Formats: sequence, structure tokens, C-alpha cells
Amino acid sequence: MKKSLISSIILSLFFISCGDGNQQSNDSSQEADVQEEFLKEESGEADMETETFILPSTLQIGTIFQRSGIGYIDGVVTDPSQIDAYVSKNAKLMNFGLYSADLAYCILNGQSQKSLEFLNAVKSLAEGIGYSSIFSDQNLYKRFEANIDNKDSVLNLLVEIQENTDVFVEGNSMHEQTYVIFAGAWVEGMYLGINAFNKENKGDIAKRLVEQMNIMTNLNKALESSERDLSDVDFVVDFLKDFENFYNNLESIRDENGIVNVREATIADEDIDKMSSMVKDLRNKIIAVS
Amino acid sequence: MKSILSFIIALPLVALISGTDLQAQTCDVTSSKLKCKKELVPFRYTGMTVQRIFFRRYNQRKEVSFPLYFETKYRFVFNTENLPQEIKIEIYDSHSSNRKRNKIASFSSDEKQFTFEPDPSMVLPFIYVNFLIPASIAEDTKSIPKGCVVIMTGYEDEYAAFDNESTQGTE
Repeated sequence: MKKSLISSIILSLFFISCGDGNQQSNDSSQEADVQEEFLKEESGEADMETETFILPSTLQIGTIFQRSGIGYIDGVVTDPSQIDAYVSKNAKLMNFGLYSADLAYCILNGQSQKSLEFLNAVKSLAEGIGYSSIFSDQNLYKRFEANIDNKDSVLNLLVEIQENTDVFVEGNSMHEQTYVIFAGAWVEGMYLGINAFNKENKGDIAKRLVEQMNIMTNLNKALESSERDLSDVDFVVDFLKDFENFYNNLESIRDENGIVNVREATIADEDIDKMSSMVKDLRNKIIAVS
Repeated sequence: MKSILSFIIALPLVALISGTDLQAQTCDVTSSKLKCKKELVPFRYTGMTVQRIFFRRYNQRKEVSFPLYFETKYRFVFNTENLPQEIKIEIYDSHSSNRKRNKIASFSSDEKQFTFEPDPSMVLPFIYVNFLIPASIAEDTKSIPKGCVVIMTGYEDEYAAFDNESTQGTE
């Protein structure tokens, strides 16, 4: 009786821990980390300060650029039918971000058919990276289709997808994956901004490009702090570091004291040309990676 | 038969004891998220982060940086009801390594839920949320007191006409 009671208790504990799901495992793993820190603390090795970087959503990047006068340019987005070419997890994650940026761009510019094509592509990539639950509500997809010509409704659905993604990431401790996703979205945001750059909107878009480069500094810190194996996409990590150096040496965006004032920032034409060449090259490598 | 019987008896008992304990320790993100979402209206959702707070045996400062786009009005909703004890939350205009940085807002977690809207005229590329976590030790000296803070952010969707005089940041 005693034995069976003990085994029942063990079995019950097992069920309880399983039932509590990912949130519990998330807490447990962090708790184990803290226990480890306690040992370090006792040996005087503990870190007293920690830092976390939050990155913006792809929809927000798109909205911000659109306000600066980005219009729809035919043929600028990637080919939504290419998704099967991505094999590695990092390639899928990065292109999930890149395609999400294109999805937001198409929606914000009222491109109904393209939006649907990108929604399908993003949904397939989400399944490939284990994020299918963000689309698990079948009504979400149907509502998207039914409201495709109503920009505001579709934007709300995109926000809903973002919310689902955030909850999924939080519940499963997948923050390091979001850095890879954001890297793809960031590159596509820059690519779309640079492509839209012309004589009429150059002042406004230059400010937004400077702002994006400022956010890149946080992205780099986040990627540097990541313990995820990024060897198959190390060309992106290396590029971002080089691009940060390029940004830090851009004289045209600084005032006489060397300070970047985003509101007043302008980018010299030769710098735009250089940026354009660098970003286009990287973007082509990302969509070609397998 | 006996073992089946003992299993049936033990299951709800252990579930009751352990379940209560686990629930108390776990951050209830679903409930906090709903509360934040209501408070965010009419701002459009941008993101949500759950910051796990572990009370250690020494004082800690944890910093979280959020990027801000200029000419955009933001609202940050903080839900602190999942903390076992009080912490301070301070918001700065610069990184903790900058000794000349300015504190732009300060809150206590005892408020349970509060909002912060940065003044758009300040043109801050980032805001730095600092959690000041006091030293603490559990009764048994072994378990770790812990909780979480849910932060939801949103931006004003149609904030196209920027006007320094008519917009002010609020706490």
C-alpha cells in the first residue's frame, strides 16, 4: 500500500507538471539559472546587473516608413512562392521576419492579392518554425480573407497575429529566436526604405533610416548576447556589425558636436548609395540562403 | 486494486497541495495581458514582454530598453500584480552606463497597474526601464521568491500632425 501510494504521488506530480505546460518549464529553467547564480553569489562571481533589449514589431516598422512617404513599388517585395527553399531553422526564422515585413508593406499599401499571398507564405513559414499556434484560430485566416479589402480590419488582424506571436514566444522562452526573426524584418525594412528613396521624400526617409540604424545597435547587442548557434547565418551577424561601424562613422548624420539628432538628420547621397548597395546585397543573400 | 484506489485518492490531494503552490509561483500572464490590453486603448498594440523577477539575497537593478520612433506617441502599460513583494520601477532617458542620464518617471509596484506615456517632444531613441529589486530571502532560505511584470506597449496610430505645444507626456 505504502509503495503504491508513493508511486501514485510521483505519477500525480508528473501529471501536474506536464499539465502546467511551457510556462512552468520556462520558470523552472530560469529558477535553475538563479540557483546557479546563488552558488556564484556565494563565491563572489555573481553579476549585479542585467540588461534586456526589446525590439519593435514589423507592423510598426512598416507604419513608420509609410508615414514618411513610402509608396508601393511594384516588384520590390520578395517572391512569396520561394518559401520551400528554406531548410535550416535560422533561414526559416530570418525569412519569417523578412516575409512578415513584406506582408505589412503590402497591407499598408492596399495590395490585397499580394497581402494574401504573403499571408499564406508567412503562415507556411510559421508552421516550419513551430509557430503554427499563432494561426491556430481558423477564423483569423478566414477573417483576413473576408476583409482583405478593408485595410483597417486587416491591420487589426495583423496586430492579433503579433499578439499571438508575443504570447507564444513568452510562454515558450523563445526570445533568442525573435532576434533572428527581427534581423530579417529589419533588413527588409531598410531595403524597402532605401528603394523608396527619391528626391521628393529623401528628407523624411533619411530620418527613418537613421532611426532604423539606431535600433540596429540594440539588435546587435541582442544577437551578441544570444547563445543560439547562428553559424549558418553568420554573414548577417557580421554584416550588422560592419553596418554599425559604418553608421558610427557616418558624418553626414551628425551635428557639429558629433551627436545624432534623428529629427534633423540627413544622409549624404554618396552614403545612401553605399548603404543601398550593402543592404541590397545582404537582402539578396538572406532570400537565397537555404 | 489497492494501488488503483490509492492513486485515485492521492491524485486530487497532491493536485490540490502542489497545484496551489505552483499557481502562486507562476505569473498569470493571461489575466495580466487582458488587463493591460484594456488599459492600452486607444493605442495600437506594438508588443508585450514579461519580465521575470527573481528576488536574490542582494539588491539588483535590471534594465530593459525599448526603442521609440520619433513623432510617435506611445503608451506603456505595466502590470505588477504578480509580484510577491514591492519593487521600484524607474524610467530613464539613457543607458545605466551614462552617469548624466535623467530619470523621467518613477513608480512603485504596489500600484499594481499603471501607464507611462513618454513626451514625444523629447525625441528619445530609447527609454530605459529599470527594475530596482530589493534583497530578499525566503523563510526556508532555499526557495527563491519570484514574480513577473507584464509590460504592454502601443502607439497612437494616426499621430501624423506633430505639435510640440499640444502634446505632453504623462505619468
